Amino acid sequence: MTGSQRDTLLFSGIVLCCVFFLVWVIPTYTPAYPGYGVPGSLVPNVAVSIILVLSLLTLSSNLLASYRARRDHKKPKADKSQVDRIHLGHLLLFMVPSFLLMPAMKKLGFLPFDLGFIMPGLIFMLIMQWLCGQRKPVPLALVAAIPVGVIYMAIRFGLGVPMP
Amino acid sequence: MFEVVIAGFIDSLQFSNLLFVFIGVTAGMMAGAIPGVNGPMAIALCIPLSYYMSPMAAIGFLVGLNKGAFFGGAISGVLLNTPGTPEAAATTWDGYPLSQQGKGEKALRMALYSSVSGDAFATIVLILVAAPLAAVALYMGPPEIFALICLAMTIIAGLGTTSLVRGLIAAVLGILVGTIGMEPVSALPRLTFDIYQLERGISLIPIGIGMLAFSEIIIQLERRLKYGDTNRTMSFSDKKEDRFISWREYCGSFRTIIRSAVSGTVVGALPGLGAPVASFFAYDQAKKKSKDPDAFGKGKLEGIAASEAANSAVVSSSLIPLFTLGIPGNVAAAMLIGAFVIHGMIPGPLMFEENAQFIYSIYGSLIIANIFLLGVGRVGLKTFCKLVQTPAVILYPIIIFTCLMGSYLAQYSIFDVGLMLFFAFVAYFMRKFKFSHISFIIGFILAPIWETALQQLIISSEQNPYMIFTRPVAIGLLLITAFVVARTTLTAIRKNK
Repeated sequence: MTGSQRDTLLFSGIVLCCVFFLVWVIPTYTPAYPGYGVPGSLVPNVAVSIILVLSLLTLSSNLLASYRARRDHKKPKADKSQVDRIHLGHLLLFMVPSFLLMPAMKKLGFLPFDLGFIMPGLIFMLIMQWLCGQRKPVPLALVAAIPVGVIYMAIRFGLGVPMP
Repeated sequence: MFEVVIAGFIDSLQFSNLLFVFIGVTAGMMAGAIPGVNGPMAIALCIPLSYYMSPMAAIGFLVGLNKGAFFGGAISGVLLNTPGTPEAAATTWDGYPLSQQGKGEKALRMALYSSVSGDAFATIVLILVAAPLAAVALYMGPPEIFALICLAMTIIAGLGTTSLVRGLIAAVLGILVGTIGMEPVSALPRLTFDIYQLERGISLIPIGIGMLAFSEIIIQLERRLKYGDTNRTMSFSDKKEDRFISWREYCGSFRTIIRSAVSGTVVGALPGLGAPVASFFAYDQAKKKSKDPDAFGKGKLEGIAASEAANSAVVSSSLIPLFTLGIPGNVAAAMLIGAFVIHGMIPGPLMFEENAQFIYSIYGSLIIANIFLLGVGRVGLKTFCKLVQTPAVILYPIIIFTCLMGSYLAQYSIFDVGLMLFFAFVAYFMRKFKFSHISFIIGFILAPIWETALQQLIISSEQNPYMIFTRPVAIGLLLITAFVVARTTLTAIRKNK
């Protein structure tokens, strides 16, 4: 995919989202005009309209440039955004454990009170280090235990915050 | 009035304030020294901690953090040719060649003394001009405030992206996200998608941590995946003349330091330009005015002095639009707005009337932070240099975990952690597709002020839209905004031809 094709897809998607927001989301999820002041939908409508206009301008400018490039037989620029399967997979590798950490902590607790309990914070740190490329067992264990312990002590006893 | 000023400065000398400013400066230097971690990221991560501090200590801590980070960025730049912060890039042009000659410590000391000097100059300017400017700003009504924020958003839209159109889209998207929560007039939920946790609105902390910290770490890890770990070896000379800056060497660069501090102060006071613009401009001017311009880029101390004095001056001068108009000049100032709001204060011209003593205590904290910057930098320089060698496999998991816990700390809510991850996801794709996440954050912060000004404008004009034509200042600002947008759009269209 070339850079121009990527931009065309991207801004087409933005235009469609803006239309969807204007036609359905904003009317459905904003309160009715109370009869005085400014309607609650004004600022969202103005914001989405500005995004729509700017996106349409960029889209038309992009399409015009693509047409001229094809007419003049110019080589299109490659897509340099690096949004491909490898990078998306890399992103998900870090996002999924992060999404799972807090519900796991809520269910299982931050630290164990008995041996044998699963420790979400420690397991999370082990997973993150593994994904970052750490393979040595001693640093793995130390970096998992020490920051989790220090942060727990600081937050629970230093700041008095109730932990999940 | 004089009593208020003295009382404010005395307040800043309280032990708790001194302690937190010291911790902030030290932590900021450590954060800035580590490549991939910068001042705004450190502020975003530490804002939840400020909940548990007094307002003065919190602002002093965060300001100290920002100042320390600006200097800290020079450490990895000089030693590894990898600036810890974008504004330290110009410092590497002369800092790294000096480091390769074994004079890394000398380069860092010049960076430190220039930072302190530039920052001191900008702090003095802030103290002298902010109050008079705020008095003028009080005459601005809703039409002027509305028009000013439109103009500020247009200028700020250029931050963090080469395309102003994409920056504008990001800024307006930030405004849209800022409208989620309770509608101010009817007090009914707006754009909450029937999720009750969104009725209180979205806090700045999940957005700040997700967009500035978490997404940055993911992108750093991708680079590491592609390029691997860099070989980090450093060596320092034992000779005294290669380690220390003499009084003569400092005086020799003094004119450059002052000139750069002036340009840094002016750039910092204008919203949207940012510290990188200041440091590059100052470096360029120093080279042009030097008797030996060919020596620049090969280890010239004046090059380091110019860059560091300018970018450190931005730290204090970016508070000028924040205090006088309530408009953040850069993302660090935007995060500070969040800290002010958390402690029940709205930055702007009214602060000088309602919280004058607090303002002067912040000035005191700025001066104290500068003194600590000098002291901590001189004493701890070698220790901070070792931090640069921390392996990424140790550092990044700790930062990721801190991001998650920091988001939880804000409102003890797991929903906020989910929000943080969602905005990290959004920021990742924004950065990939060259949309400015910084403009998004500033748009989000300015949204309530902009909407309030718009509402007041419409209500006070009794639904008469032509009322704005009777306000020449507002019209002037809107015309400038339209001109900037039109010019940028035409430039973009011509570029695409």
